[in-house]
Amino acid sequence: MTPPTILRAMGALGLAGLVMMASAASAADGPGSLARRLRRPVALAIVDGGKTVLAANGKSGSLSIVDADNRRVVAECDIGRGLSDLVALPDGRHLLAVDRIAGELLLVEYRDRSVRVAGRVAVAPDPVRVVAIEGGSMAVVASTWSRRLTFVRLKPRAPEGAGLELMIAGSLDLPFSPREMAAFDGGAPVVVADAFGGRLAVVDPYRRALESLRTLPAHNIRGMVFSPDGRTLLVAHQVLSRLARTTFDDVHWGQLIRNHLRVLRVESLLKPGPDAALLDGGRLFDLGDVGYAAGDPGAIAISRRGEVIVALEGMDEIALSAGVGEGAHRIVVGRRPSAVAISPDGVLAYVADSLDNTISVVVMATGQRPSTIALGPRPELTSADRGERLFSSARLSHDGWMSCQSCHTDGHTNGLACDTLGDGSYGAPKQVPSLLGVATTGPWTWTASMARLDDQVRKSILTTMRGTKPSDDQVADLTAYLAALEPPSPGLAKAIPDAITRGRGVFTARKCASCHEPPTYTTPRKYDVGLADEAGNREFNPPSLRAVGRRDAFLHDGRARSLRDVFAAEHHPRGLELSPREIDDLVAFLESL
Amino acid sequence: MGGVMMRCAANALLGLFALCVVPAAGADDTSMKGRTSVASISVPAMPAGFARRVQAITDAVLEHHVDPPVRQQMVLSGIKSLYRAAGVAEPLGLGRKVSAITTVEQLDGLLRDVWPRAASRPLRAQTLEEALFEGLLADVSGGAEVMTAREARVAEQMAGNRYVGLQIALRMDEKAGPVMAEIFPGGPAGRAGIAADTVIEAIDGTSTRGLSLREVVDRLRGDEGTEVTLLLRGPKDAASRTIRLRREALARTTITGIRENKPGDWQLRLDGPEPIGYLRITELTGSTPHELRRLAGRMESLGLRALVLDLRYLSQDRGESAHSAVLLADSLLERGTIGRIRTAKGVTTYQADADALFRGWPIAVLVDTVTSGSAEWLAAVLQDNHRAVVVGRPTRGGGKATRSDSASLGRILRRGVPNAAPRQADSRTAVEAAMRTIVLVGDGPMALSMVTGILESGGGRGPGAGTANAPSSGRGVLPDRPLPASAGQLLSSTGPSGRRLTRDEMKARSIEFNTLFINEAVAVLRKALQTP
Repeated sequence: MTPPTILRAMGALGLAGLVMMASAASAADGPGSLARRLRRPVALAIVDGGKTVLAANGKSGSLSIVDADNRRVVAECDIGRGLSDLVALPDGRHLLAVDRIAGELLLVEYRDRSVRVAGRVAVAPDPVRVVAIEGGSMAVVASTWSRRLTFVRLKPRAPEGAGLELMIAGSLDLPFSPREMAAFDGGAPVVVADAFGGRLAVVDPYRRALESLRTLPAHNIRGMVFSPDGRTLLVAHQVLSRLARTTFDDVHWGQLIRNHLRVLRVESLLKPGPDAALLDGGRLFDLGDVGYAAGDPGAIAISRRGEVIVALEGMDEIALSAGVGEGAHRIVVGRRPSAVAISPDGVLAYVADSLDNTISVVVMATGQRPSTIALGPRPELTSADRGERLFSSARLSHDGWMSCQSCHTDGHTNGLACDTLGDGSYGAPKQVPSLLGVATTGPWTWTASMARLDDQVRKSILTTMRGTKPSDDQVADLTAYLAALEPPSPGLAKAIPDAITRGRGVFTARKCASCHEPPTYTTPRKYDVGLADEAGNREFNPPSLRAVGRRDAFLHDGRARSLRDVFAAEHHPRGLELSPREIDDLVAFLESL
Repeated sequence: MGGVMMRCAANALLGLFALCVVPAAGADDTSMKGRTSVASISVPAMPAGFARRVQAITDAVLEHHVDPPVRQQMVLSGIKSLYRAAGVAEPLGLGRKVSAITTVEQLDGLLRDVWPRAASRPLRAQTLEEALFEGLLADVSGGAEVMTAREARVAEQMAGNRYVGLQIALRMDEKAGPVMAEIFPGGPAGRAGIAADTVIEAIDGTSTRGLSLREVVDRLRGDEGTEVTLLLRGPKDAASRTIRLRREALARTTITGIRENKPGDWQLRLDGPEPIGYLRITELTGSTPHELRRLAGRMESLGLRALVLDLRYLSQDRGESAHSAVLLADSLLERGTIGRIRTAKGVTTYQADADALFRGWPIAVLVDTVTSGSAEWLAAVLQDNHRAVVVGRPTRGGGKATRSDSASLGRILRRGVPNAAPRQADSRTAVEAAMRTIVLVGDGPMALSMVTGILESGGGRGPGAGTANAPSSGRGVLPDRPLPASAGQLLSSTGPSGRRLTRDEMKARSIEFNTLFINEAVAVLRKALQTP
């Protein structure tokens, strides 16, 4: 099995020539005419044997084409509305790009520093990642909010030499929101990780079936690659302890939240067994340490020599080490490094500074950062833009252990419980709430203790993240960013419309709206619903039910592990008894919100 | 680790007896018990808001203590303590008066009524206030102390192994004043070469004469990175000298290996052919779980595959280490019930998070008769979950009190705990340990340190007889692999013939005693390593 690297191997599968499809080919702009806009580079691909670097931009939907030797942008091509991933195919002439906003997979032709969209196909909404397997003849796309994998075949067109076309081969629904994927170069199986929590699935892309689903003791899995020898899987993730508290001590000594690089043995991954068996033969390494933590580990890249780079999104740094588990050298790059690609000769590493509109270039041997490649001019940042930078910055916390993102992943929730001072005391851990749509659902915290969102922001920074007191401007910016967060659009549910209608009927008949009132599906008061926490609190503010189908643990302490359990096992509220049919329908309705 | 409130142990106040007798203003002679005092010195008036503070403290105890006494009982003890401090006899009928109190207004009236009007020695209002608080808390089981917000912060720093200061221990000398009793090496004072028994004559320009130990400590403390100027006179110095020191945060190492090859460089592998590591926990503080994690990584890199975890020397716990013990237990268990905690609000069961250190390694835990408190609980938890084999002698059971005038934890347990869940029907008894936290009194600034919870293991071994030399109190941990009964004789100061042993002989026997533990543990681990 050829070891895969982040730059898809230059295999020798001769695919047919270029296809002249009538697609939206847009003219390449010359460097002098680069537009003033936010780009957000989130994925990198290296082509031309290392001479050219392509960056996929999440905000502008463009591909930036960079001359690696001169370290300048030579062209920028708008190909979509907002790109989230980019992968070079083994033939060296095609790439796959994912347009998250449009919900499409794009086939891009590359030649001589210019690109052309050769094909588009609609995939499941909110696609985030793509992997190419089987020498580039099949692609798997992970769509986060729709919890679905889409399988796309890349077939040569007839007549021979007429190029490739994209064809949907099928899909697979997953019981979690997928994001990162890793594939063996040969093809099967594909490993798919949870976007928020710790679920890890092994999927057969040919049978389009789930081979196994287990849970890692992890959350925020943001980097996942196979080692060059294919025997281990490296996973970058965080760990949040439910037993620790957000006291200064527990944060300081790394008890509350930690940042890790985990090594899993592929053998343990592929062998069926319980969750704990996943860890057999593996190792867990700490990233960062007391006094200098490594908040939000993300993309991983491994060179052929075994050197490892882990992007530390919250620290604006990368950690570079000579081998897995060896001491890491921390190198400052740009803001929120979200992708790393190592040149084929192993000399340089390119880092996409997603919030800076730049690519940092690092010399592997020395760890020096020789230059930054600007992808284009940037406009003035708005308050919400600045808030976003703060939201993802671990420097807001003591020693850099965590950022807001660490618990409120992408503005949502990591699905875990945390013992904060949100309820006024320690000893009663509570589910991390989702912040999507948070601005319209005051008062805040499970016990409705905060009347102002900006006060809650300040309290979180001081008493959860144990950071220094933020300025009023910072608090205002963060609040502006939160106000801009919207829940994912409804309608990604899969239930039949009849069930949803019946479920709405149950919702009305049982007066759920008295606490969960549309359109936000919450009310500003606290209610006793027959639940109590360890501190004796009995009244809770109802969380908004928008996007409730995208959460994985319910009620204040997460005791219900599925929406079904909320009614079938916990009989929420106050001992409510529903028939199994009613529960099915109600769940279908809730999942449609 | 020890109360923070450093009270003036030596009474620096000399009894000044007034030469003339001043009749106590407003004193009701018929209410005084026994003889009137020979001399009467006027007493400062009751401080403003005093009753509110007393009420707030008793409120805090009632709300948070795991098994609080009755409020009126606390008030009565407090008033008695007040009179003791004043050095005058308490009036008759106090019990009746206190029993009638239900509101804070009534409390205020009572306190004004019983506030002593005369004393046998000059007193400051603060001293009386402190005396009353001390009495108030005397009946709170496990011991409780009032502290200022600043002292509370320092206590938390110490429990969290982030102590900020000069890294010295102080004592108060009757003649010389505050003396640096011990200088910790590596700290700011140690690096400055200050000798033990150096007298502190002035702090930041102000003389220390007349200051209580507590006041001296207060002035020496400050934020990390700030400086303090001291006027010192060493034991061998002819004259005083001025020195400036910077306050630092120093973390003690709380886990060591088997042998310190170089300062700070501990050998983690036991001598012998087997890949067995050894760690001794010397203190359970906020940093201990972190240290264990780092050492686990190192031991894995060394290729070790089994662990001896020595808990024998953990005997000083007043309850501050309960949280660290819970986190440690969690880090060693990858599944199962860690234990329960009872608080004023009820009982919570802790489950272990998935993932653990030393996965797949057999573990032997060493305990001895002095192992107590949270360490005892930790051993019980590991034993209950079959995660470790316990080797050694039966533990103390019930925790150890470090204040002779406060109830031992044993009393908490015998008295029973409110809202207790019924114990399981089987004969195993749980091992218990106190959890002490610092709670804000009202909205501050005072804080109160007291036992707010009791950790319970899932169910220890039954109340056993222990061994003849080490009787178990019935609530301790019984080792799976006890030392031979004759082991305890090695600690005796007389030999088998009755002759008194020399110091060298005793030292050799002590080493032999220690080796017994290690050998038993290695035997257990060797066997476990051999089985696939």
